[in-house]
Amino acid sequence: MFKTFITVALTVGLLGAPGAVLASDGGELTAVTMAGARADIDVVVIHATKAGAVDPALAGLANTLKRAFKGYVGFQKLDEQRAALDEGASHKLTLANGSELAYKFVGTDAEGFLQVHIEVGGLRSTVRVKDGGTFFQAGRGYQDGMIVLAFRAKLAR
Amino acid sequence: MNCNQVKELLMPFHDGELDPTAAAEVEATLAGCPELQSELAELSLIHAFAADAFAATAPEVDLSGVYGGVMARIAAEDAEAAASPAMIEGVRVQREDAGPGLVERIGAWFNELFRLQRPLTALVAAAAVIALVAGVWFTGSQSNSDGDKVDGGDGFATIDNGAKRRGREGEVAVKNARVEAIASKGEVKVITFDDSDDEPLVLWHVVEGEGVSMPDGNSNGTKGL
Repeated sequence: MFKTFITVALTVGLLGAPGAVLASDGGELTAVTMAGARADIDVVVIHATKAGAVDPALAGLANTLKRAFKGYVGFQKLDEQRAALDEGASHKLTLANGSELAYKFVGTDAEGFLQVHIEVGGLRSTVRVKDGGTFFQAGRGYQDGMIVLAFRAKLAR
Repeated sequence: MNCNQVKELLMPFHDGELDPTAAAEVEATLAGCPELQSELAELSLIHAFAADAFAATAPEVDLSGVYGGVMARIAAEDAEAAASPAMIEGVRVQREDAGPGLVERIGAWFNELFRLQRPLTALVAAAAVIALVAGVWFTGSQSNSDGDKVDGGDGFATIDNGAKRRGREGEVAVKNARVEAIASKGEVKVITFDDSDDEPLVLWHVVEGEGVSMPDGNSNGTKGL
């Protein structure tokens, strides 16, 4: 491990400026710089099916869901959890298909992006999302359809 | 311990840095992982290559074979990645370069250099190699920034020779949304996207047998994932 550290440090040092290029290219995650942030992370658990209709409770997401999940027409809201998370804090819930979802507010970066880490059913990813942005996680089967998770992350004011 | 877990430990195992219990576990698991056995053999070859290449004193180091060695290894990895089938679960990425970046690979190679018993020689050689590969690195960086974008075509990752391949285990499928970057942080993919785009970001994690496939408007062959 020490050798690896020395190697990386030396390589970055020798290459100098291109190290910044590496970061901006996405080769490395830039450091989280804003301390003490707090975010409201809203997770809506949705059952998507190829028959049925859109739950009125999802009216605000209906167009986005149909556009993102072509072939699926039925969207029923199963659960919704809103967690106000301090930087580094996480929240867990059990989904209808038995999987456990854990999501963490990693923090914000210098560009103001919120970093949200999610772990569910073997998928582990961190998403950099703009303040107030929405993204989805989907693909795991449930009954005659699949589970869709809609995440919305917004800095608490 | 499974093959993936062993893969993470391959380097320390090769270098004899694991405790006896862990080493025994790795060894036992390796017997059932032919791909990792090849990787271990490759590590040994590279180690031997590096030792041979830099056995001379610094002023007399012949770097003529080093550049070729680095590039040959990179080419071999690219060829292997291009030929590899989907490994599991249909978690895949849609971007042009799904493998480790050029910088990562060169970094790993430098890691080998510093295992030499003559660190000063290795240091001088490393600096020289950096100069040699800098141009290639810049080229790689440039293409990487483009390569992270979602493939707007049929959804499979595209490699240089035009062939198609699926992503590897643990990769994240991102469809339709305009993804600005996908970076690796350990086992975790960090995804940046532009949510002002019409298409929202969806992280797909499809497991074969659960009856779900990535919906698609242009029949891109995602069925079965």
